Amino acid sequence: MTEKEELVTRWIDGELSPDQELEFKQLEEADPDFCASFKAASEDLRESLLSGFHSEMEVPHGDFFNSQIEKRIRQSYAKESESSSLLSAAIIWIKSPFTWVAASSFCLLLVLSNKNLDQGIGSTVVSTYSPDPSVSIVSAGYNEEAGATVIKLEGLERIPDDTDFSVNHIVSYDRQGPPGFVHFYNKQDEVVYIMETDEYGLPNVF
Amino acid sequence: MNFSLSDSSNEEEQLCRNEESLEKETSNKERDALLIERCQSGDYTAFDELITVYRGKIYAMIFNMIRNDADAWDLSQDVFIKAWKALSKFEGRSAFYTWIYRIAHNVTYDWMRKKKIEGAGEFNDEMLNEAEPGALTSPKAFDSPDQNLQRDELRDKITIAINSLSEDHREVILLKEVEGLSYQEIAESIGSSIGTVMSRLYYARKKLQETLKDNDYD
Repeated sequence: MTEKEELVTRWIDGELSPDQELEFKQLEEADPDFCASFKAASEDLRESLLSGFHSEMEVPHGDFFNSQIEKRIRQSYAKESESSSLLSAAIIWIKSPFTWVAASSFCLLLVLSNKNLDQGIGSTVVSTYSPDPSVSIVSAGYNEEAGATVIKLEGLERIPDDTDFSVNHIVSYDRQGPPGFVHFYNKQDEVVYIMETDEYGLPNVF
Repeated sequence: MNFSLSDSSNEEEQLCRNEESLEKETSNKERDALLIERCQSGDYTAFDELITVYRGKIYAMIFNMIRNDADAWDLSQDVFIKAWKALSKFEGRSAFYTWIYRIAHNVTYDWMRKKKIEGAGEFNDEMLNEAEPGALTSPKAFDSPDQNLQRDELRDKITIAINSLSEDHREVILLKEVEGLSYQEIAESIGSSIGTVMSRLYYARKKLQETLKDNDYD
């Protein structure tokens, strides 16, 4: 948009400042055809636009239009007051001493139950299974005295009274490989058990 | 061609018209100020009066932009609801109608964005509406069929030309030529500078003149 065009546009739209009016007079004297044709074209356009577009139109069902607005405003206020009453109820509930007593009790219970859980970590027996149907599991659970999980079985073969369990107590081992063997020794440095391992060091199961 | 640019009788007539419209504008502003004051003190009947005064303008403004009467009706309602809620913040620094036009502008643009009808340059057949039966300047019943036909053709051409503009250019040209707002009022209504308004106006006029000229040779 050139300065000349801006000046003529302002003139057509009645937006000339006093300074610009002087400028325009000079332009009009110098190039009257340009100004005239610009004005004519703009007036034609304005006329055409006004034939197809209106600055004001009758709103269909005007009274209903107004009443609907009032209704919608009232509804929105009702919704707002509903949500604000919910909010104020929540605030009252939060401020209530009973709420705080209840919340404290809940927290205490939570702490206590967590403590119990901590104590039992690693000792909870979720399920038991006996591959030998003649052997049944009587009980399984953590024993605080033993500091270990105790599983009580029934139906096992009787073990002779003279059996010395301490002989099978493994105190050291010696690995060869893998693949190879692992030798397990008791207190007396006697081999109690030999395990064959594969190339990954895992026991070979047959 | 003689355009009689400096015709003194024409200038006098124009001056008279300007004075009349200035007086009307002043009395409208006073009326609005009183109604707004009552609204701000919680008087809904005053707002109802404001709606009745401005509903035709707001409806027309939105209808001119979206060319759909049902949506224009709904959106006009949204404009007044928003206006009622924001009225407590209205300080009267601008005229009420530029303030409410601004709301109408925002509501219309939001709607168009949602509808994704930002089809600048594309013409939609549905947009070629028939004459609005309720339009204040609708053709009179006693026009001849030929006259009606010519008017319809011209309106269709104008609608095509207007729809060939982008929304921004369309809005500015309608606010200027149809609503008769000043640069300052348009700038306030659409939240732009006067420079932007002028350049959009210039481009829109040029494009419309070209489009209408092309259609004449069809």
